[in-house]
Amino acid sequence: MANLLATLLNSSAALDVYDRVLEVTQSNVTNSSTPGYAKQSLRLEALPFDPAKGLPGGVTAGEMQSSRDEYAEQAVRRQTSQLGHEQQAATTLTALQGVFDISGEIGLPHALNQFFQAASAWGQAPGSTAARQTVIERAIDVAQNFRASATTLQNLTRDTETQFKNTVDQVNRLVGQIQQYNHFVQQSVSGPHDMGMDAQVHADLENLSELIDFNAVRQTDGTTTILLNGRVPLLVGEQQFPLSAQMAMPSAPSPINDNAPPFARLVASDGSDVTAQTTDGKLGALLDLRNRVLSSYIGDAYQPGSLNRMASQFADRVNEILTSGNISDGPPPVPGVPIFRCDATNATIAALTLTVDPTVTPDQLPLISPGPPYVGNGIPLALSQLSVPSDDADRIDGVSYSEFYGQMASKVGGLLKSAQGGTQVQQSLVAQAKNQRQQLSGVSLDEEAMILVEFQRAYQANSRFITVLDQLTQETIDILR
Amino acid sequence: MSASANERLAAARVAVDNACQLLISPTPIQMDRCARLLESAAAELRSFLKSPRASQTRAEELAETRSLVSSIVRAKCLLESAGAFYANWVRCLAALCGGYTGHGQPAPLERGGRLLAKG
Repeated sequence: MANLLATLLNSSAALDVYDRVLEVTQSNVTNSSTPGYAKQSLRLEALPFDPAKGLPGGVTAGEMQSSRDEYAEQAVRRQTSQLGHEQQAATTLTALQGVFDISGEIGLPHALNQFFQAASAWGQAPGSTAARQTVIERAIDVAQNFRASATTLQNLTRDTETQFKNTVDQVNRLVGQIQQYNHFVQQSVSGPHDMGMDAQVHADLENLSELIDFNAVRQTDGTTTILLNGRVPLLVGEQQFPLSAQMAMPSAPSPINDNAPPFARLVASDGSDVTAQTTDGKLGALLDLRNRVLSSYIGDAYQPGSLNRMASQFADRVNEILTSGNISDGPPPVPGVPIFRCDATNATIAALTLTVDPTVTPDQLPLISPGPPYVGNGIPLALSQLSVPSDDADRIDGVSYSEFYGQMASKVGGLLKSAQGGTQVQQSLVAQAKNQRQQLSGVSLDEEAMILVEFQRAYQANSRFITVLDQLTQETIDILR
Repeated sequence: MSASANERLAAARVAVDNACQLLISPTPIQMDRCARLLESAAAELRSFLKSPRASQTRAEELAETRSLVSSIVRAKCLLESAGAFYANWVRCLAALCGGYTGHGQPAPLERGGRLLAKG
């Protein structure tokens, strides 16, 4: 009789265990599409079985096991981080490419061509006031196009800086959310094994990886530690170390251009500059685009920027040619006047401040190049020669102004092409990493269905067993009566 | 460029693109299929290099070649990433199974190899 009751209790305990297995299966199935969720399984343990010693055996539920693999998670985050970098680069560079038109039908290249053509036409009709007027008008167009390009670049720079600050805020917000989870995990009754919390943390970590490259380490108490590039702490337990975005001029080496646009800096909570350590994710891309790519056009503390260099060199050269010429031979000879002017105190705003002196009239444009050799229409010829330079003084970095502009445009085009190609490749790599993670820790609905059928049968068999035991017990009681 | 030469380039690119699709889920079976596709792409390229080409259609040839190059770069990255994943995985597994050697390296893991014999 005692054995019968023990077996009855044993079977009833087994039903409880099967209940829990089915609950785990149900949780897996319902969370199969939940971001960050990893498949769970309940470990079943056999109880000691030795009828001679009164050990009835049976089954008990062991620990809940998560199939999450941190190595696969890290691989997904690393690839997502690089994808974020490429996507951000492609977006910003697409906007930057819009500044540099290479068709020659609009924008700066068109204005330069028109200016050279106007100078050439003036050389063919030296006495024409209308031709001189056209040269001035085309010069105004050139200056206006330099200013327009510089303004667009400045706006793009400002947008990039705003995005940089917003991205830093997003990073801090996401790390703050994970810090809250760390707090809940420590307070939670289910301790470090709260699977719902675990899924939320991993979903947030994946979102964070798109913004910044980091290492996440799961501690034994269930909390997550986040380190920026393995060195700078962003989150340790319940302590968050927020990042901040700053715009600052470097102090060493000493800046050459004191009024240049400052660099974007990412600063850790202890005040240390972690810009150089942030290379991946959207944040890494924004820092690179702002401090390296855009600076190469608009200038920074150490160089004026290629657009400004082109503007000031072009203006200086045109002015030099004009002032070297004479309006009349005299005596005394009447020299020409410069037409372009820009802010000479700040090399990084040369393009932005380039204008044509409004007081200059067509009569003040010199025609004569006194030489030697003396050339009656030497100045317009020298101006038109700027389009196909034969003299080093008419070149910038060894090429014509149009070619120099082409080089600026092709640099953006090359970077954009690389970023677009990189985006395609990274999308495939992210898909690959997610597939590998899915194979290790994802929920397979087929597998869950098999478990469901398997335990349903075990449950039915056990229920049947209990029914039989119940009948036997009843019959035994009846016999004893 | 003759139509057949152009078709060969396009066929090579399609084969590489299909290989990339397989490499998204780099299981051993998929890797075998991927290897066959890459071999067929290589064969198409060899045929392309031997085929006569007209110089006036150089631009078309360049455009198709650029697409092929980007597909090959994608396949290369996917192969390297899958290789690195499994290599690191094997190291993790070795450390889990056999611990570390005296020099701090994961213990060597014994694993089955595959032999391909061609008659």
